[in-house]
Amino acid sequence: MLGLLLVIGVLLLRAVYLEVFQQEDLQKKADIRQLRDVVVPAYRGMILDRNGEPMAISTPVESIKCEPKKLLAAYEKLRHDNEVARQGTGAAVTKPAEGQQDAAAGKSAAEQQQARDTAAGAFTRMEGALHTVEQQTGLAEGELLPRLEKDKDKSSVYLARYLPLENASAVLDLELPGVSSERDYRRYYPQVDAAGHVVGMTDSDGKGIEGVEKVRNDMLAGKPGKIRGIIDGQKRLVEQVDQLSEMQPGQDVQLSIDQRIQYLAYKELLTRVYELNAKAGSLVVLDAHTGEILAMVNVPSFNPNNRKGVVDWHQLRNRAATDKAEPGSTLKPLTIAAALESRVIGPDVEINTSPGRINFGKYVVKDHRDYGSISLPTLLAKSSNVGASRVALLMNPRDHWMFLKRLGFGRVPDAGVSGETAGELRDYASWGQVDRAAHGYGYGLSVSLLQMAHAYAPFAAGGLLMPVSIYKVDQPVTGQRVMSEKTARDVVRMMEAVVHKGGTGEAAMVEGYRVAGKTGTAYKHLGKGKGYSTDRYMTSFIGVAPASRPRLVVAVQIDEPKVDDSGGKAAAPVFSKVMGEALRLLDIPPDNLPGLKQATQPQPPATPVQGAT
Amino acid sequence: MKFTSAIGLMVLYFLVIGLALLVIVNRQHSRTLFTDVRNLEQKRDDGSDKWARLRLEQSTRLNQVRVDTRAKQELGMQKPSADEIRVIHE
Repeated sequence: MLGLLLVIGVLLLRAVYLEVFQQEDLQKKADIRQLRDVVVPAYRGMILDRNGEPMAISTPVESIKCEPKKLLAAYEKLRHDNEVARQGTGAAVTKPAEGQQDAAAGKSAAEQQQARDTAAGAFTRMEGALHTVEQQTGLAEGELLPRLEKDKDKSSVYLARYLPLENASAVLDLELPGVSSERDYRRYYPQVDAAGHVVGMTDSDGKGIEGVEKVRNDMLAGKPGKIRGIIDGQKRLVEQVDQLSEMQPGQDVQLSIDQRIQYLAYKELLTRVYELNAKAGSLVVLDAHTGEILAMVNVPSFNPNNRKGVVDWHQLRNRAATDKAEPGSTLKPLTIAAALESRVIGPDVEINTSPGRINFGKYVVKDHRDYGSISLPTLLAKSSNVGASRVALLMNPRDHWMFLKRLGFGRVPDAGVSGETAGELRDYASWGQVDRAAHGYGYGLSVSLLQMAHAYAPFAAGGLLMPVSIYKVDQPVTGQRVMSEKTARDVVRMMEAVVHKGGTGEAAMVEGYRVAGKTGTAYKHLGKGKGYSTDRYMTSFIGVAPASRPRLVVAVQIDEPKVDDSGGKAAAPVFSKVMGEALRLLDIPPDNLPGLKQATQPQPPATPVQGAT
Repeated sequence: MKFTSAIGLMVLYFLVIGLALLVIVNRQHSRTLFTDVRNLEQKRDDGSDKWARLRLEQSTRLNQVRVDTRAKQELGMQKPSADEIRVIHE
């Protein structure tokens, strides 16, 4: 009895000792063994197009891991068994790997035969399994074993990373010893090259490094959470002790892009750039009424699914937004609009372009030939430099500068695209006579194609300039009035003359729709004091349609074509195809059908005011 | 006095034991619930994984090029030319 009490006493003392004096130390040791901080990964949000189609989406993939030692040991054992069984010698001591032996029976010849077959079967199965692994992970035949042999000393190697689930489960179903898998997420871009610049891509850690993936990285990525928990013997989390931070899933980002138009635009532009053996090309489709970018493509592009495929960093540049250049003749409609707005000319004036050249000392502005006295529509249709210069010279430089500034020249468009350029527009105080004339037909200042498309938008939106955006616009936005509705309508009417038989933009015609636009060919400046190149140029076409109720702006630019000569021939066909399809895809009713004229007869041709949209 | 305090002590003693047991039971219960939560979260993640895969598959199937070629080749459809289009105004 006394002994028992003594033992209990000792135990109690020990308990007190451990609980009171050693508590801190022991608790620490226990925590090391069983407490773990577990990161709860946040799912990266999707990037969607305007109709909710995925443009970037994270899907699960499996990485196959293997412990070389275990797999090699299993393979060796089967091979050994097989050999031994085949020689028939050590059958008594060798147990076939998967054989079920009838314990009662003795070692008859039949059984030896059976054992041999089983060993051979198991070995063949193993070989087959290894072969399947090679197939599913994309290794060459017979490559697997030498590779394992090489990495024998490593505790674990990756047989394949980021396999689709089907391939991974095909490997895992073989139940090979030492082979396991790890879940990961990979970003897929269903539009591949067509939307590479817009959507961008992520690096190997899943962080956005280009395009929208970069600009909206924080929103897409969410925040990974962290919990502290207790793990059991099998390293499974059994209890949550503390939540260190809460996981916030990434949000979806919806773009204004219509992936159908985007794809089509890319296809057409790529074909054209290839045909003309050009250096590069860009195209922007804009909904003038909302300021949304429906498509923005560049050639050369890259495939965001394959980071390693990017060989040249120029491929990554979203030229439509990041590159500035002198626009050339596509600026002429803006010059006329500016002159109409500052009331120095009326829409019906005639401009005298004789003798087809203006001399400013060394600097000469000239036309292809002397067009004589021409109306404004003809000025645009013939793309007269002299005419545009004369119009520009009529204006007060401040008015001209203010007008261009209002249209977004020299200002970052802030569309939400990465690396947008502001272009270049010098202050009017420094404009000389030559600058004023050159600005009239698109030299001496520079803009990106996105800025140009945006500057044309007021023509299609009754004189209102909507902020341009790559993200879907849900609420109606308030635009800024940059020109009167009448000016916008007048200039669209004038630009229609360009896209008629005989105009420079004849190739831009779209079946069923009236189109207004302007061609442009801008020779490249070779650097200070070197003047302009005579064979390297940027050719472009910018236009709006349908001309009776304009809605879309399409701007095409092709850099250094080697084959064709002027903007009308090089860029206009791309415009025609993309504009035609975009109008059709967006269900915009045609305004130039053969049978339509009678139907619209009740409306007088000179409708005073069209409902501003 | 002495008697009542002894009883009080006993009551407290059993209370302590009882509560200790309750702690164990509750802890076990919380662990089971935690495992359930983890399983459900896993299910949710699997669900959203599957959703993402299906979205991807759908977008591949509805790919414009695919629809376009099938419409043209298998169904013999074509784009109407301008004089075949009639516009109906409301």
